[in-house]
Amino acid sequence: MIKTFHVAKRDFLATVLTKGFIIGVLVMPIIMTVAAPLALALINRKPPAVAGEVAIIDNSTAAAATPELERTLSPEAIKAWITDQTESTKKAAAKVIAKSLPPDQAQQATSAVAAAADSVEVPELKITILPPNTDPASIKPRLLEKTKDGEQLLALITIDNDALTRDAAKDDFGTYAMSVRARLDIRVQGLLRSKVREAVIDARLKSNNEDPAAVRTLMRFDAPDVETWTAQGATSSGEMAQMFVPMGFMILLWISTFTGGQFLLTSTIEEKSNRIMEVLLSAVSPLELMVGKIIGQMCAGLMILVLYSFLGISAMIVFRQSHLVDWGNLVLMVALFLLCFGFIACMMAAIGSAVNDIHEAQSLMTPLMLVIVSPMLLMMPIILDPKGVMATTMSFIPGVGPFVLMLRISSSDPPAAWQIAASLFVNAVYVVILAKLAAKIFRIGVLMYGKPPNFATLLRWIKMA
Amino acid sequence: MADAITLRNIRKTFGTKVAVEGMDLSIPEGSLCGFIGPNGAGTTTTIRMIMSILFADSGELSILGKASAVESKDRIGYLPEERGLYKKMKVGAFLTYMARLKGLDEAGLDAKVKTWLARVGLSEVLKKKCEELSKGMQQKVQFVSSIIHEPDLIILDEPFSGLDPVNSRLLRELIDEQHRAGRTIIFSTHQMLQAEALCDRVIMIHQGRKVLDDSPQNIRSKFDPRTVAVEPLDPATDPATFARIPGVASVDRRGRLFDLHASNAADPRAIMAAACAAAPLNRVEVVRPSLEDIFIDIVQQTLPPDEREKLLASLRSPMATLASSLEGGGD
Repeated sequence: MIKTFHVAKRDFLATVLTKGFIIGVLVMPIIMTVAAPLALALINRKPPAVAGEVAIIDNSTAAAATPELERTLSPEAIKAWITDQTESTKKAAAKVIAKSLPPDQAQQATSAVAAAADSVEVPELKITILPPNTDPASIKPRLLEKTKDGEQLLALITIDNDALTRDAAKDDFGTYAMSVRARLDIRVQGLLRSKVREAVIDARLKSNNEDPAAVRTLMRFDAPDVETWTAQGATSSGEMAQMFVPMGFMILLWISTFTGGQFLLTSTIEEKSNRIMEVLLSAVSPLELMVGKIIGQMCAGLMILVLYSFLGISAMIVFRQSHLVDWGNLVLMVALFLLCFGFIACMMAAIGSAVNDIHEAQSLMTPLMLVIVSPMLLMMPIILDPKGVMATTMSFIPGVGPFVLMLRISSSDPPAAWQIAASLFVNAVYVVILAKLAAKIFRIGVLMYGKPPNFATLLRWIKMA
Repeated sequence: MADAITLRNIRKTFGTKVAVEGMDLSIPEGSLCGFIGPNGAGTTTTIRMIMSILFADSGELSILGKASAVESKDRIGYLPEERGLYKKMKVGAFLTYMARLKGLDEAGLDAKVKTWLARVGLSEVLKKKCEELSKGMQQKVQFVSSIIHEPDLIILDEPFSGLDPVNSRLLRELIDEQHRAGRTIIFSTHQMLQAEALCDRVIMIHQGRKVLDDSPQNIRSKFDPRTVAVEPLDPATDPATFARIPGVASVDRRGRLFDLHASNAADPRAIMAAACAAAPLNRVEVVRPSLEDIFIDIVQQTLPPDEREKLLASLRSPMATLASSLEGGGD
């Protein structure tokens, strides 16, 4: 036992004291804490100023939509619309910030968001109303012309002739067609769609003797804030946050498991290629060596898990989202980490002992990776239906079960306790079986050099050992 | 004296290839025993089975009174044929790590490491990374790692390979020192002269089987010398002078020497007397067969001619190197 401890200690220190590990482990949180706000700040930057012409062919009955189009697309209306959007954004952001940050920080953040929102530029659009029934094909070539900014045609909008008055043979009103210049800013396209829609609906209302402003007032309905009632009182609900928590837990489990597993694979291959294995085997048994290496790298993986969990939970506390964390799940996460790592580590130790270099390991690892990444690919369906047949079945699949269980228990509808216990037990049995098989491969593989083994050879080694 | 190692009818196969067959061995405590044999003879496999790194398909082993080396690993020092170090690890840390794996306590370990490094002339590399050492230095560090825990049984697989004459001499002295301290030592080598010079017991392995097991003196005495070497005063002496001596089957010239090969029925002492009478001589002696001669003689009986030539070439090449190293070392 003491020898296993010495092997584990050496492997742990040899891993965590390398520059690669220190940089690799620290870079991730740095990227998340520095790059994410930076990216958000960049996203909030003002869009490029757009200037140009928008041509409209109004084929509606008596061209009744034209006055509304001229009104909704006037520079004043566009500016008012953008201001309204900006105010809504500022209001929503201020609400989230106030819930998430202490008052002094909230004030700063709100000001920053407001400044970013206010910096949005109003596009300079020149509206040209073309005669009804103008052939759009004769206009479209202008969308390809390269003239100086402000004079080029940005979009051609053609209002259908039944856009205001419904054709008796159809169930719905007509709509409009829009052709735009290549690479026209999507925010301008959105603006045009919104304003044309507004103009056409207003024209329909007026043709039905309704007051559009009054109807809009009647239709306005602000969604209420949903609060989650917890032991500590009311907290914001954050449906998206509830979705991200299981993902976060699962990804955390995945990163810590695979980082440790990858280090185990490379260190085993390195020891084999350095011909140190036989020296070690003169002092310890193959099982002691393998278990020691697994424990050493498990500690490295656990260190990543604890460090990242600490950072993540600290961030959630700072942003007042700690109610989303079920603290009991953290204990379960450690248990699931041990199962995940146990499975991956046994595979990595067996593969690492059998091959001569990392390239040979790839061919043996490919099938394993295909299985292990499946919870990542199926993350959304599992979160949305954590008690479904797929999620339940996958909880009992070797190598996949602990990851799926992590998603399920941190979802909004966790499985029954007996299912969790059963999945933990079954996956623990898998690890024990795999450890026995891996030990057999390890015992023979570490002294084998030359041609890399295939799966048939590995099976033969298992029978031989 | 009790046996440190006992092997009974050991057999080991790799797939269809039989690596070791019917191996019986008893090595008494305190002996210095050489395993000799060409590449692929089965020496390394036998050593690995003694170390419980490989396990025999059948047969019985007893290592230091236990059924396997696993139960007494801390009492065994092992230098494998495939040398290995942690390249990025510092020499001192590596030796400390190996000593801890061999059951030594932390207390006094640093001093022990320093003492041993000084003993092999490597005091200055304590804090250097293993990858910074020359091959010879690495080999000495590996040797130290195998004996730092003062084992009762030391097994060295080709300890001299790759060493220069000076370091070969140092290693011989260290092995001899351990032998004098009463430790049982086994080492394998392809170099017959090395085994002849160092060992009190030689075990020859060929094609997975033990073909000889005795002291070098006994082995030589068992092989009746059949050649008389004469050096005439006159280098121009006609070989026919000696060929005419009754009982001489053939004569070979080796520089100034003539080898007179006795026929089966002849007495070499009578040939010596007749040679002295046939011509004035500077020197006359019975040529005692070396271990190499004996080994080759045994092997020749089992190999086809083309493989025999290959084997002779492989044996002679290291012999030439070793002879020069022995001369250089002053032994």
